[in-house]
Parts: sequence; structure tokens; C-alpha cells
Amino acid sequence: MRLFPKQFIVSLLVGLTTFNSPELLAETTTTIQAPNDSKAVQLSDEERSGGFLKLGFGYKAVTMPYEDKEKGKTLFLNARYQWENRLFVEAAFYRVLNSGLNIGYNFYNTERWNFDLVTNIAHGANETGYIDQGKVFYKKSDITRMLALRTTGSFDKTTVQFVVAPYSLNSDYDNALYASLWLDRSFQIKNWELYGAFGLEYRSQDMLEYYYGISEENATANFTAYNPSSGIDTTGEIGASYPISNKWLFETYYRYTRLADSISDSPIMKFASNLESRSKNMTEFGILVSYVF
Amino acid sequence: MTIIMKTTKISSKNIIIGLIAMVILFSTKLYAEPNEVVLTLEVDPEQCVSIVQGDDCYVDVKITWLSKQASDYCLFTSQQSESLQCWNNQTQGQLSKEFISNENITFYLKQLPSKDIVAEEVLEMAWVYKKNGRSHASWRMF
Repeated sequence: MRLFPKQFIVSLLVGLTTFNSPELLAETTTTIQAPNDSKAVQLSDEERSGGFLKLGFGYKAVTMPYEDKEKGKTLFLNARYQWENRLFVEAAFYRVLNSGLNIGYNFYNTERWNFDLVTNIAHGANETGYIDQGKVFYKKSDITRMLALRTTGSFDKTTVQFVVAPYSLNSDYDNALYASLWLDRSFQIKNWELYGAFGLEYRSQDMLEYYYGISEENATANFTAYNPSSGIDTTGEIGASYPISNKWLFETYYRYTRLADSISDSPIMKFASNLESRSKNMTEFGILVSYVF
Repeated sequence: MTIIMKTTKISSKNIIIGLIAMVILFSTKLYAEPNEVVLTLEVDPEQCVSIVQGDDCYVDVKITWLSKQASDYCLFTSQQSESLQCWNNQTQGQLSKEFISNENITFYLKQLPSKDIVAEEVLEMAWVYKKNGRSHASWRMF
């Protein structure tokens, strides 16, 4: 059984604010403020072009209903490149925003907002097989890649992102719709950056039916017929970063995703979440050292 | 003949010694100039790193100065017009203090009463992510 691969949590983000508390400063502290440069500026295509690459190495522990608990040493990747013609490619495999490997077109920008047309993984592939009291239950669902409209607003330490994906590249079913809303806010305490992120992900009824529904003819004793409604997953993430140098970062994060009731109530998910080394909802913890190129 | 040659050799050695002595004396004269009485001004660390360009950077700094000439000195920074600390008739001094800044800080040691700058050192601000059009929470572009 394999649902929601790592790319599962589709795009978006969050952001947040710095916490410049005067009371944190010691009596002997001296402070100086440079001119306020938080005002957004309109950038040219040339100025927006360029890339970002961050490689990390550390430890990760993941629990979920779709796969057995995974823990151990792993590599972390965060990369993006945008050309002057506004095409871009992204690859990110940790932190909730912009997860997975996607390509897109940055078609419009304002001082605060970026508007992109981007590929999106709305749901991972899934395969379930079980001999239930002599009757075989088997269900296989392919990955749902979609074309999405994504807008990202950057407000100093706060990032807001909306994604609407109305067009699916998966021809196995119709009426796929995915939408998400993310808010990310970071805070500064001394030279640490702490952040909190919150996200909602909506999936249409037909999409959840494709992955979690069970027809009367395929139903078995334990995998009874089920017709899910649409559902919203809720995700929260907290994390911290510390600059070891201007190239090296120490990072750690914890993420929790509560799956929609229409997903958790599926006999497929009830069965899976009761297996050893699995859980009803999803958690991920990571601690790593990253190099920023 | 042999004696003459020996005398010549001694003369060359004297010339070399004389040259070295002149260099030493000349050097000493340079350090004796009013603006170069301080031999060292050290700032440790020399760099403060924040996550994002423009963010305040917090750093505990140890400033040490050493002079060959006892005098009255005051330590200033580019952050403020008032002195951080003054020393009376001293040849060395030290100050540990936390600084917060998002731009380079220059430290000046001035000799009193002339207030001539006799030494200066810079504490550089560095960062991991450049500030740009997209939030660094989503993508940090270089």
C-alpha cells in the first residue's frame, strides 16, 4: 500500500515574523537599525532569474498510515531555478512549502505577490491488496498530477500561498479538484529563526472516491462499501534554523498532518492505520545540517 | 696582505650592522608618530552571521587594544556618537559587549585630548539568504 509519497504535501507556505523584543536584550546591548528595507520592490525578469540550491544531511523519522514507519539518516534537497523567460523548476523534499519536483511558469508579479502556473501532485499513487476471509480485496490508484494556479504573497516574515488545481493529468477519473491555503510565519530570537506553518488542503469528492472509495461489488467483510465526501487535511509545522556560518545551517522541524475524516473513515485507512509501525495521521521530524550554495 | 684582507672583512660586517640598526631606528621612529601609537586593535569575532540579509545580527564581541604609549584613549563605534568606554593613562584595554546590527560596525580607538583615530577595525555582517522578491520561506534565490 502506498499513498501520499513524500511529495504528498503539495505546495505552499507560510511565513512569519520577526520577533524583535527589546526585553531580550541585555543591559549592555547596543542596537542599530538600518534604513527600513522591508518595503517590497518590483523586480525585472532578469533580477527574478537565478537559482537556489540547498543540500542537507541528517536524520528523519516519518509515521503515516500509507507506509511503515521510516527513520534514519537521509539527504534533504531544496532547489529552484528560474530563467529569464520565467520558466522555472523546483525540487523540495522537506518543509511543507513547495514539496516535490515541479515545473512552472511565473506569469505575473507584483511587489508582494508572485503568480505561477505550476505542476502539482495532488495525491500520490496507492495500491492495496488483501485476502479478506477468502475474498481478494484489491485497489490500485495512480498518482494525480495536476496543473495549478499558485499565488504566493511575501510580507516580510510572513508568507501566504494559495493553490487551485482544476486540471488533472490523471484520466482515470473526472472532476478532480485540489486547493490549498498555507500560512508561514518566522520569528527571530537572537540569531535563531523559528517558524510556524499552517496549511489546509482540499480534495474533491471524486478524487477521494478514486483513492478511498469501495464499490459494492468490490467490498469484502472488512473492506465494506464506502463513498467518501470531499475532505480537508490540516497540517501544522514548527521548525528552527541557526546559521553556523554564511553557508552552513543547522535545521530542525516537526510536522503533523491530520487527515480529513472522509479519508480516515475509509475501511482502507482504518485497516492500514492499525498495522504495526503505522499511524492514523502523519508526523515527520527532521534534524539536519544544510549547505546553501 | 693577509692583515689588510681581514680589516676589509670587518668593515663589511660593520656596514651591515649599521644598516640593520638604521632600519630598526627608522621603524621605531615610525611607531612613535602620534597616529600610530596603538599597535593592535582586535575585534573577536570578526563576523556576525544572520539567517536573512537585513535581519538584526546578535553577537558577543571582545575588543582588545594594545599601545606602546600610555595615554588616555576612548573606544567609539559607527553605531553611536558617544564613546563605549574610555581608559586613562593606559597601554592596553579590553571590552566585552553584545552588539545588535544589520550593517557593518566599525570600531575606532581615539587618543585624547586630540581625538585622533589611532586604530580602527570592522565587524562584518554576513547572512545565509539574500533578500529578494520571493519570501525566503518559500524559495531563497541566489
